[in-house]
Amino acid sequence: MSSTGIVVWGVILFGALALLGYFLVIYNGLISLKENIKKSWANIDVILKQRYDELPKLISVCESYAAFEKGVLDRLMQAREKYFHAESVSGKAEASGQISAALKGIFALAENYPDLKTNNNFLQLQNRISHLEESLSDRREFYNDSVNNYNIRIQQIPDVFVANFLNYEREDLFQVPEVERQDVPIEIKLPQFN
Amino acid sequence: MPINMEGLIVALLGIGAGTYWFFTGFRELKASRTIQDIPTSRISTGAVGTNVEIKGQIQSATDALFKSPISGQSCAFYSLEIQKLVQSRNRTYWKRIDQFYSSDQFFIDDGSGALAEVFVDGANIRRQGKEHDFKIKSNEFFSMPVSLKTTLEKHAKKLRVFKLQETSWLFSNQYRFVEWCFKPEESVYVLGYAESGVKAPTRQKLKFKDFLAAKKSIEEDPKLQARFDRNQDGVLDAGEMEQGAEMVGLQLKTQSAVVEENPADLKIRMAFKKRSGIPFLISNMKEKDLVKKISLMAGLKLWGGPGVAIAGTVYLVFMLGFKV
Repeated sequence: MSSTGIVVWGVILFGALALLGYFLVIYNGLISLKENIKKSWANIDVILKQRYDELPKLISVCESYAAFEKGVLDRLMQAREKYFHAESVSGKAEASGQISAALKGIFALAENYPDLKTNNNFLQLQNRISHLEESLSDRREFYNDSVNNYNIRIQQIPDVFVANFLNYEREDLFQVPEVERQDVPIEIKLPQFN
Repeated sequence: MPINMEGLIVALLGIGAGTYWFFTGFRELKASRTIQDIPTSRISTGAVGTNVEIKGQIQSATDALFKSPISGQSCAFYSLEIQKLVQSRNRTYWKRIDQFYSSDQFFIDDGSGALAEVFVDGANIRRQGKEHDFKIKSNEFFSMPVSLKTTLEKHAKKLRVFKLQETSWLFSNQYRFVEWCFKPEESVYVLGYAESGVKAPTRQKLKFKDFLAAKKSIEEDPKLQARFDRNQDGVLDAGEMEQGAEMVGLQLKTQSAVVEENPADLKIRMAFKKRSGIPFLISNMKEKDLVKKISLMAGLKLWGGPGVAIAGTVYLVFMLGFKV
């Protein structure tokens, strides 16, 4: 065999192996990205479930203060129920936003109830829920980064060919609902000076 | 015409090395894509598991910093590699025979209010920055700098091959000690398997006997019954009682609890360790530079490897063809 023949066959062999290897790297990479999205959503769901479990305790503490606005607590209960029945990511995300908004309202209103504000259980729950909200916010950011990386990859060449082969489609971001973006009106009771 | 043995070995080595580089090139490609695809987690709130990526500033595993044995710098973490000068048939090179670190682990602070503990054993450390070295013959160990000698004696148990024993001039070997250092507060990137920190705070759970005691106190106190009667029907149903008892029990527990937790321990939320089959990468480079470097290496191996292997094959066949 001539040296040109060896070079040609060598290039064909390594070229075929390179194509196969590259396909496998992309294929496995896309599978990992897809699974990462599922994992990051599961990690959000863990926090949502923990928060869901804490809400009845918070409602009980607030309800023990007879004057506490029932409407705010009802809104929280409704959002909690909605979360319980939600099955899709977007449904849970929407319910989660409503819970966060209702919680903001409760914590803002609590400023008007000095006894409630100093109640040990309320403080403990407030700390716990605040920590969960912070975790939720970070994990939502992580989830959106994962989705963004995935959405970019499946549109890039050469990943797009493998993504089409796998029937992979764009995933939705976990967007903050409008209700969560709104400011919470806080009525501060200032002392009256005559 | 006799076969040129040296040429034959070079050709076979070329084929072997080229094929090896080609396949390891895919590993590099996979690593660069993994780094690009994994978002950065915050230590305080991030989830643990496989492929966790964090970025932050390095902190020493002890209260004090380490003084590096050759350059005398203050380091949060340093490595000392021991190399021996080896002579083969046609070349002389430095062969790595041992390596140890200033400590088994270091900490990373990303400013989120918690630390990650990184156990470096088995990690792939990719770094940039100056290295310091010191060369000495084994019959001249007596003239070795005191700091280096003390360090070698201190870490003697970690050394598998190297022995700090002076030899005669006749049986002497040439050694090189290479040191690198992560300076305090230097930015470090870590990607790998993370598990929960050693003393992450746990949720309070009520013991059954505390729950029963709380339930009894509600049954005996009409005020508490009214407080937990959520639907105001005058009767405490099972759900209302359970919720109330849990709250009263937790309150009693909180009031009587004695806090014995060490705040420093509570701050460690993640621990990185080597797990087989999962990449474990530590670097002081920026993520972008790290990806660029690994991608470049992948490209070189994927293109250069086949080139070397084909050239080796051509040379081999050419040589054998002459023989036939």
